[in-house]
Amino acid sequence: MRSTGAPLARGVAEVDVVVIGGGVNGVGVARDAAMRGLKVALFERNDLAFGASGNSSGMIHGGARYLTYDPHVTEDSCRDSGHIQAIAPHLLFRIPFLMPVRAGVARNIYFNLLDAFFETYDRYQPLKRGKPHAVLTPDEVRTLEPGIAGELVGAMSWDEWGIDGARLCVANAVDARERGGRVFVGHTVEAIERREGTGEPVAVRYRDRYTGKGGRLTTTAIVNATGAWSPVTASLGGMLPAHSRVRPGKGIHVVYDRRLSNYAISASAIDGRQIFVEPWQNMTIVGTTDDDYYGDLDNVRATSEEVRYLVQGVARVFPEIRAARIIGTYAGVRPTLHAFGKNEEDLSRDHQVVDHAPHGAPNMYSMIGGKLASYRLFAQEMVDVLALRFDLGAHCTTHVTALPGGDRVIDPLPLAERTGIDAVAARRIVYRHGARADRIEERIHKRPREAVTVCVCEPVIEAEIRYVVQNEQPRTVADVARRTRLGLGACGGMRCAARCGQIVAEELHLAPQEGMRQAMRFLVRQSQTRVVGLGPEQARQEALAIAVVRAELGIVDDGEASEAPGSATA
Amino acid sequence: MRTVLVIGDGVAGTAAAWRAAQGGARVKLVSAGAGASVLGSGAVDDAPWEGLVRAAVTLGTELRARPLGEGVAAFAEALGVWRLPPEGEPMPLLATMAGRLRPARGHDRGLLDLAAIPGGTIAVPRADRAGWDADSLAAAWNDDPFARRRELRFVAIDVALLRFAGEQRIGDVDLAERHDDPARLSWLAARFRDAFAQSRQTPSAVIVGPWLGLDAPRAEALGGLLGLPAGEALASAGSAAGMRLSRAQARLLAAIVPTPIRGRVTQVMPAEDDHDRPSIALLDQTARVRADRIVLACGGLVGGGIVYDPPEIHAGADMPERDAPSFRLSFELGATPDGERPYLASGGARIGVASSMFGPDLDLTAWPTPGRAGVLETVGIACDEEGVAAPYLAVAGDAVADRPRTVLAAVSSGLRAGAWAVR
Repeated sequence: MRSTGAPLARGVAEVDVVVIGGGVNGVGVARDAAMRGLKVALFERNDLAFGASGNSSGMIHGGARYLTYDPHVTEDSCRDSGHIQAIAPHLLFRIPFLMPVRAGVARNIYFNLLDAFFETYDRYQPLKRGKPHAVLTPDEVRTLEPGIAGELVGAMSWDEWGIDGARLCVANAVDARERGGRVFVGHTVEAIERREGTGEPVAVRYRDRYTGKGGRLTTTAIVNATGAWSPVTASLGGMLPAHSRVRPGKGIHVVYDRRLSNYAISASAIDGRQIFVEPWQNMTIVGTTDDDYYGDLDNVRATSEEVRYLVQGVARVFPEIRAARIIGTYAGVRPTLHAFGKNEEDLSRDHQVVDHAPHGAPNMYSMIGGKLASYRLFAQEMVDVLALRFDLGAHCTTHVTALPGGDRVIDPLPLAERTGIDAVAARRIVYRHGARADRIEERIHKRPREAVTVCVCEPVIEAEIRYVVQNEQPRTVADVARRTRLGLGACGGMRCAARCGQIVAEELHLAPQEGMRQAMRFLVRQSQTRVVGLGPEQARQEALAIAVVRAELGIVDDGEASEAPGSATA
Repeated sequence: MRTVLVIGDGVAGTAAAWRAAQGGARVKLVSAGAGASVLGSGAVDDAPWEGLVRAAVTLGTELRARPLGEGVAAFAEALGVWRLPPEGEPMPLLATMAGRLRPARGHDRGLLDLAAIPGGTIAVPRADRAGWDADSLAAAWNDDPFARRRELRFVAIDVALLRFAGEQRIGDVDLAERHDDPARLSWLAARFRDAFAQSRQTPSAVIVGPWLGLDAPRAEALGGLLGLPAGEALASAGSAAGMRLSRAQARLLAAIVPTPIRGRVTQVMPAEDDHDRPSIALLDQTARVRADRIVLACGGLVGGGIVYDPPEIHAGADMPERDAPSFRLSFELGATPDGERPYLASGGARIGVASSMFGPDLDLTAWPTPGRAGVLETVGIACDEEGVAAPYLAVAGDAVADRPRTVLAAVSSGLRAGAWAVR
């Protein structure tokens, strides 16, 4: 790591650091920097967790696959999983994994090798409070997971942690704000102004993508944490895209309407890739693919071929998957570390801070790669660099300071009794908000009617939506869905999107018709993610949803809903 | 006397049975239970309304009621729950629970027609019920261009309209059913009068949720008690209006077909020879039901008459087991002796064998866009202008390819099929 020149002074510009990108790396840096006393502003073009962070497999796994060639990565991942668990216990849920091993030639030897492999992994499990692996006989496998097909030698079972990536991002962003950071959601950075001669950043020019309002913010340093968008962001600063190169790997997941299995089941796709079916929150996820992607990053969608690839792979060990009901898909582009110029020795690591001083842009950095499990560590490494540049004495404390809601454990059942809301709804609130469920409860005590359920599938109550809109910076119905999972269930939002639009419009002081347009856009966009995986039951639901939308909202183009109907009526 | 067999007792099947009976036929009716009609919203459309609004904007014309199809007014009269203004009158304007104001060719008589209100305030009672936030709804409706144009102002008012504990949580239809009781309706009217007295203002009209009666629309009765127009906002899929239509259909059908057949159709076959008649087979029933002519009003995707069933779903290995179109009927439809078999179509073209897992272009065409209906709402049985798909068989309602999935399109096709059946 190079850092050039004399230490930077703090407080010279409006902010010390501008972080571009509201994914987990960006919000992690914003939080850490704010905690260490830097003035920080974060710009997110779409929404927090809009990209890879919110469209991952929803796990902070220990990186068992690195074990054979780079055990340090595994150790780091496991240790940091443990840290995340300590600072946000409410966001984690245990996902036991099962890897069935088919009977066949020399499969016993393979089975024993796997056993030895997981024995090594066991050494790191205590770091993340995981349980040691278990070797299961074929009979045990069938008892635990009757849906698994085929003749087996046995199965390995081990332990990982599930997490809602969007909630993790939001928690970090909220904390950064509460510590003085500024977070701009829905704001794109249009240009990076640099000082002539030295090449140092002076300011960013940004624009609110919803209102069109522009602005300028002076800064001393810039962190590019835009994941797959990294090359685009680098070019805003006048650098070559190649200086911040990632290998964009598109990964899709297929979502089912319920938990189909007790365990996450690992399987092989037709080309030998490891894929899995995973009970996740109150649904099931099948993932994932990995294809190079060079399309529009703001609009990444799964295709029916990708769905077929996953379903066929999983069906070989878990045939019931074919009959199960797909209620949606999601896709993200992971910013895999690209073979980068001089740093080939670092390639086996999964993340890297790039200092752009050698590219003529001192005090500008790019965060390349990374994964959910080690986001905090990556952020720490980034802020360590900044701390050195700004000559800060403060050390990182993000691993010992609870994220919002992570400081106390709330029991959902008494919460349900006190507020009169459904016990499941209460549990979901506690999962998403931890101790801050208290604040939602306060709302209900003040305005009892906010206890009504808006989204029945998840379920989500009105008080949570209003709390989220007021405190977590969503700009649209889709942003609320990302934070609460509203409208992501089997009905696809046909019941709740319009109501959510009304609430969003009210809370954000938008025209009610604008809320309705947002709802419509959300419905259409979600329908596009469902249709690539459509089966008999969901098709019927889809046709009904169309009828409902036609009756109540009308099928409209973007921007059309507000058009005055001219002299249509007398 | 000719025997006509109608499959399906939704609004299209009811229209077909009613028309065939008018024509002097003996009508048999088979039904497997509720379909899309009961999920209707109470808006009685003849075409997608978004298109009408667009056309009116473009042409700068007023929205006037278009002519009704042959026999539609008489059928609506017999049904007794709809109001269909005569041709040329202003189109009704309905307020939806999603917060829009929308025109409709006609409406369930329980719904409030805003076009009949010459401006002024419309009271929206606050009720502690999910999905009914009077203040939000009033704000959304006030923001609608139609409201501004017509100088309608929705105002949320406090009315204690829930009478018993737990009424915050019961379903809309349950609350609607309680207002079938005249005493309860009077009680409700009294609560409104209290509220008007308290605020010292009497609005031009009153709009409530879909809560005014299941057996019949009680809106007019409430309006009579209050001395001003009263009615419901439009809700879809599970609204009281859908249930009222369903009950009205049942009453109408009871007079025509005293003993309908309950069961799921598994097969519809033409006559095997000159001595035979067309027939159907039913699930778990050995006896076939025969008739001279058959009307298929089995519903589309929502009703269950048509099933989306891409072959790959059933594939055990990597390749599909069979070549088949991605849509099929939920029963077997036999070929006529000369080998002709009715087929499914969408967008004027036969639905073929899927080229990819989920059918050609479904990604792009499943949902409608302005100006283009989606595949999921156009897929149906190909038939001629008369609705005839085979010499013995006519199709009605959502089972017809490329007809707009509106109530009046269903009624018209049902009446047409009923007329054909007795011709």
